[in-house]
Amino acid sequence: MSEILAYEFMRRALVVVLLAGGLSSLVGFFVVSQRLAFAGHGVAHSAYGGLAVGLLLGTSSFWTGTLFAVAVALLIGWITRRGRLAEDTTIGILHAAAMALGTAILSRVPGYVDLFSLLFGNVLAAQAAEVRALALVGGGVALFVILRFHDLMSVAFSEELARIDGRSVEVLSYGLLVAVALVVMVSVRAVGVVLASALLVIPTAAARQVASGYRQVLGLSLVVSLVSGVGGLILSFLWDLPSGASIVLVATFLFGLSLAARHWRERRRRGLALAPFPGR
Amino acid sequence: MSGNALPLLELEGVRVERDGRTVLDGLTLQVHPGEFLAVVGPNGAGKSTLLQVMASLLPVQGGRVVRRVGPGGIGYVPQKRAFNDQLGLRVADVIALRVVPRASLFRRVRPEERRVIAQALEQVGLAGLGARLFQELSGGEQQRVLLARALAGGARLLLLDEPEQALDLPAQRHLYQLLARLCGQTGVACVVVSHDIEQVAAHAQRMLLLRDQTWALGSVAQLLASPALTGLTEGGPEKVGVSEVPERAG
Repeated sequence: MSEILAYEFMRRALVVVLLAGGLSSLVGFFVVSQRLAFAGHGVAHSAYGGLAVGLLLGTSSFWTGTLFAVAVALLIGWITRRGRLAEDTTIGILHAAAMALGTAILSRVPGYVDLFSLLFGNVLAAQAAEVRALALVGGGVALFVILRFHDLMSVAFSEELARIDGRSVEVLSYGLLVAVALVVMVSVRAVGVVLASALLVIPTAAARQVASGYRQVLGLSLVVSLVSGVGGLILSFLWDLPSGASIVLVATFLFGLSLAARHWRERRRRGLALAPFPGR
Repeated sequence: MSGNALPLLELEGVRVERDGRTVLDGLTLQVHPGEFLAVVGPNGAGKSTLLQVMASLLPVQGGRVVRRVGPGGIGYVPQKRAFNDQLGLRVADVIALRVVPRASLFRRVRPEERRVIAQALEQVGLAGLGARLFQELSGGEQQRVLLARALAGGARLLLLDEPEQALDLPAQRHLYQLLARLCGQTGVACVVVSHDIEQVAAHAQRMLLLRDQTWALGSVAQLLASPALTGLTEGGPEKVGVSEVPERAG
């Protein structure tokens, strides 16, 4: 580990995966419990269009991608809330349109474009300025979710009850969608647009298999996220794998372990329940 | 019902439209402290819409709604499909969401708040269940937790939307007995939307029937004897002769 951390780019990469992991577990809790996984997937893919715009204009693709992702997230929320189109239909249309736009724009970008890194992440290439931008955005998201946790939880529990309690349900719902878009953008450097939504879903899904109570779920998903990030980064360095693929594979492996642990625990409980009384 | 006290809720000539269709028209009623009012009628008659109007969840297109309950004075218990019971919340957390507004992730429930939560759980017969996971409770227990949530927030008017849904008969009976006791002992008023006329009629004092944009309001005895209920009471005798029941076409 010390050998790995001797490199400046590895230290930067470590900061990025820790940031992405921490934020993903925090926001992922609401994504999984409110069934927003497909929205996260759609927003992540939509960011591709914004990243392409940045490359074409020669500006920071992180900020253009962020603008794009936030706009698409708000649009998904707005169209769905109006009730004219089902959420999955809205997301299907917007994410396909944004991918098509991104591909069309990229074909006009002069010179070489590292499409592979864009799609599947290359955390080892993170620059210092980019890491600062990620930390700024990530800090804002973390503050929002931590400070408004009860409000967000209340809306997740029941919008009607939250409204009667005097909470601004629309602001909170749009706020959560924006948070999802920003977390996706923080994760894109680590795992790319194709796999960004996986970080939002897999750690929380794994934690829910074995933890009871939301505090345990949050804590365990944080552990899964961080272990996946750091473990994936080490594998990426050692075996020269794309960082996104190795991080998501480690997370998926941990999800498999959690499924097995749940299965084992249930079998054990059933076995104990069926065991005869001693002395019979 | 305390006759002298001002009504907690007044609806005067209320008209509500949804998706371009008039659902309620000219509805006038009052709900007094300690009263148990049952709202019955076929599907699509506007029963849930009425509760949402009472709870300020829906605007009215005509008429007037006056609520004299103060902040936190309305407690709403939605149908089961209207809340997410897969969040990993403990029973005390569900109530704390109402009792402790605007709290951060790291804010702990204070002793005085814990006392309010415990008292509310005791009122609904769930003392000591605060640490249980909400999702592991039965449908009836979940309904009672939501009642406790409303009471802990200082509700004076409880609005329940088909609380008997997904409950077996003993659980339904237990819930209605609890509501009647709350109304009688604490002065809380209950408005209950129900499909089970016999069950709710056994505990309510007044009944509101909604059907095809018309409404009829009266005592339970009046309504049960009214031809307005024909067809809603499955296999029941035909109800006749209720000139006392004010009924109007919409």
